[in-house]
Amino acid sequence: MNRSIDIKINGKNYSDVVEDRLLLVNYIRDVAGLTGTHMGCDTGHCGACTIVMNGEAVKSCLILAVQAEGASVETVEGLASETGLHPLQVSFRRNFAVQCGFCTAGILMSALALLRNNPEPSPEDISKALTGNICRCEGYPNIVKAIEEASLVIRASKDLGREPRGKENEKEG
Amino acid sequence: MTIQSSQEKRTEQTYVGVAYPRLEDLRLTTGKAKFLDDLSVPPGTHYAVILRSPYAHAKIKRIDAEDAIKVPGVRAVLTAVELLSVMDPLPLALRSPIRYYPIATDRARYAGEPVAVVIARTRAIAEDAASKVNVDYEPLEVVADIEKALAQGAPNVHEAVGSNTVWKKTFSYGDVGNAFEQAVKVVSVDVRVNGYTVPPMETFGVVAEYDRGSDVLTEWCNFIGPFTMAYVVAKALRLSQDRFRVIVPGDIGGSFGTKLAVYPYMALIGACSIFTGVPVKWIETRMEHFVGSTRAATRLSHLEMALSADGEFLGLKARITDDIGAYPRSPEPGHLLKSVSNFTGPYKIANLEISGEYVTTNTLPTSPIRAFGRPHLCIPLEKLVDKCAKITGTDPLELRKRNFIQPRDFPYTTASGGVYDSGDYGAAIEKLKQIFDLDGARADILEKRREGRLVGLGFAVGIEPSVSNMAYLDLAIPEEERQKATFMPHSGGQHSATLKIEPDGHIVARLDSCPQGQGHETVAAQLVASVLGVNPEDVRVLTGVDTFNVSWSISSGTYASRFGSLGISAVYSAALDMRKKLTEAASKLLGVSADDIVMENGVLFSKSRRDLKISSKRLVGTVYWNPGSDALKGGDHTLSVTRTFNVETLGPATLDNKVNASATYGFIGTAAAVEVDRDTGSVSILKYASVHDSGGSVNPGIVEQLCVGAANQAASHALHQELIHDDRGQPLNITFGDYYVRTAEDFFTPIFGSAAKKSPFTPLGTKGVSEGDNMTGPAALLIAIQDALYEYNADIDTVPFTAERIWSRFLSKNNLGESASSRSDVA
Repeated sequence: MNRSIDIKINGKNYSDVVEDRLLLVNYIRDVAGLTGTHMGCDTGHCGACTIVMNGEAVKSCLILAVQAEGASVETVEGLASETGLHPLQVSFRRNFAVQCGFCTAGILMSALALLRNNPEPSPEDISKALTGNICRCEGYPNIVKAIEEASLVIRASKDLGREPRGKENEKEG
Repeated sequence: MTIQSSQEKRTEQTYVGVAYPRLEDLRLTTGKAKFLDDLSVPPGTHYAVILRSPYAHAKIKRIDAEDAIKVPGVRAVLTAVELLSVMDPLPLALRSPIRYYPIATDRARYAGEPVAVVIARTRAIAEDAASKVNVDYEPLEVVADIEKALAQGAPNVHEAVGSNTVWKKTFSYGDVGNAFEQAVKVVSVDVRVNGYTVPPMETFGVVAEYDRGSDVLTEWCNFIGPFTMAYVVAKALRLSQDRFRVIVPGDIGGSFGTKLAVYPYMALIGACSIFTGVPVKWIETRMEHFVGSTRAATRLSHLEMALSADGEFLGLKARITDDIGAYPRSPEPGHLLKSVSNFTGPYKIANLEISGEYVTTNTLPTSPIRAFGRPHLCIPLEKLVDKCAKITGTDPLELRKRNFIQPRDFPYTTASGGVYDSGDYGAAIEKLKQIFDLDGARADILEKRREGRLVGLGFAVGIEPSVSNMAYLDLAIPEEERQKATFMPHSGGQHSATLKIEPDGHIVARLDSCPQGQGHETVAAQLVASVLGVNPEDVRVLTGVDTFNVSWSISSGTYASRFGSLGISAVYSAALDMRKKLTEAASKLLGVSADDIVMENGVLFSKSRRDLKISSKRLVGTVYWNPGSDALKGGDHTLSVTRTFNVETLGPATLDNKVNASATYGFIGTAAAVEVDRDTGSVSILKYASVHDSGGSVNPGIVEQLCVGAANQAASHALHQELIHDDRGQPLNITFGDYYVRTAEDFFTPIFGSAAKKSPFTPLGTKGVSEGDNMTGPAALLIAIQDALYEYNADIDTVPFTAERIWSRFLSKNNLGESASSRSDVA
């Protein structure tokens, strides 16, 4: 059966008629054309498809597009703002936290949700927040370091009273 | 930015040795990268879903696709009956009557073997239709492991062979018999390495478009090379090379060797497009990846070392049995042959005998997995060396150092023909002791043991060969055949790079590499920028191969750590050539000799008369827009150079079976401290360090990140990873839920050290690096666990050494009684 849905992705409104069985990840990739979100396993283990939906990190291969009706979705494409890259993107690059890059989008989105809920995470908090994301290059030491560094940068920019770049302080839902 | 950089003066090698942030990351962190499944597809593309055999061994009696074909949107249901009309078997590296197709013909020989392909307008329709295909199977007796395959009266996986042994050979170097006669002691070990894989995040994928107008089949695929396999696919599809275009995207989501095995699917999906006349796209699911992609060989090895009175390694004997699954597909028997050159590792051993036997079973076929065959070799060899140290009462690092090839010996030719370029292994060991804080670690172990904890130390060393000289596969061919005049020997492993300066001064570098996370774009940009005096951002680097537009060879691709060795050399050489071209053109335009020209800050000028100068931008412009000028006419000043780099030592195999399978040979030394939980058998890594000889790094940040990942992968393999099947050949762990993959909750941070010894064979002295931990890591961990379990006299003989194996073999109640006496030693 088909159904019409309205979804906001990265601040932009999408209206489409989709099959009930269409997964949200396929909607994001194939209908909205945002291919930065990846599919690595079909079973919900790998987290390459992680997005932020209504403020929470969600695996977009585990829900249907029709379940996202009315939702506000953020994908990796929405992470950078007009003023520049998000501190997470900058620190991933600076810390050599990207190898093949296939898992990166999902990890960035999990990290984004973490830093909004917990702006001062310990390395253990970061590891815990990433348990749903697999990096097969196994670059975890660099990834955890990069997220910790990004959290420091965001906090420092707040302390300095400057507008932190990106959207990390935006309230969702 | 262009060749005329606005930046201040850059001298050569400015960016060499700098941890420059990766250029790739700008698109990878913003979601703008284009992996295979992200590419737009040709109009009319159909989607393939592969129906696979649920039986490990069965006769295919009948395939009924009548209901499936009626599903609206289905274009075709293709089986071997249809596809063999456009396809021949994929050629094998070894001589065998076996015919290997990418789809089962009359029999399925492993659970997961393709049986039919449903082609439909969408993937969902194809999946729906696939469920309506009925296959009538007659299950046959299954041969699921080596022991059964070699048992008397075992059923044959291939009746045409008449046995499950598809290849058997003994290689002998030096005088092994004499060495063992002279030996004061002979020490032996047995190790079983179970089948495993290092699965990448991105699964396999192929888009094939057969164009009737040009009669060309184009395939977009995340294949990593070597392009010998593209040749194999063209052969199978009855295509001449000019009618087979392979396009590999610049972004590949990891491989760890596995994506060489995309090639059977290139044949299968290509055949589907040729047969149906429509473009066909296939993206592998994760479960398909586990049952149908590839794995490393299962190996049984028995190694013996002949020792002199003072602990010298006089000779080494190895008996190797590899289970390579249902088909001996190319590049097997590479699991063994790729390592023949460096079988003796970093040790000076003049007498060597290797007996290899290759066995087919009803399991997934194999292909190279990160550090092809070297975990299989390094784990038993280092376990053997450790045992030799114990038996002779020598410190394990001292015994190794005593038997190392010495710095004065290089270039060193091994007994089996490997030509090692450079090394100072003893110095690397000293560095390892220092970064690991060996004295501190030993004190810590003693302290913990006093508390009754099961802790131990382990060391492993190894040679890290880079580049693959195809000559090694000729060892699979009988000597009689190799002697014939008609035989074409194989050799070489060249890498190419094309550098072009566009009319507006922009620089483009085109590589024939297929990186999967190794940062080639950044490294190449650093090299070109250093030579041409610009910034890395000024150089656009294109990776991935398009066989119609790239200078490629049969060895093109990214595997066997070839980029760090030959790839860097090709890019660097091309950049030097380009600088020479610019200098020559400038010398003509300025009327001075080329030796007199200097290039700085985007300006070329005469050293003797500094007022004679030309900006590189004007120079490039003149070459393009005014080549007919008096100064330039008649000369070749085109600003495009292709450089192919090879190393002279990559010759063909000799008739006495000596071969040099690699171009450069790095070194790695690893130390690990572990604790075994008495109650569960689970292992914690207390400390882990590796020292690498990469010959020097262009980008140490990239080298270190690759090695950090490799060390974690090594522990994943050693402690957890194996592909499990039951005795009917049914795979039991086929998702990321039940095949162990590490998460961020469970990683460790290895201590990284460098002990570079420049290679004399490459212009910058670099060697390949980052596969080393995948071999020394499991070996060091195994030895450390044996040390931790010394009170149990533990002999760890199976990889992975899972908590379950450690517990049931050594720690469970039944074993406690046996070890009670040795336990009192500790208390």
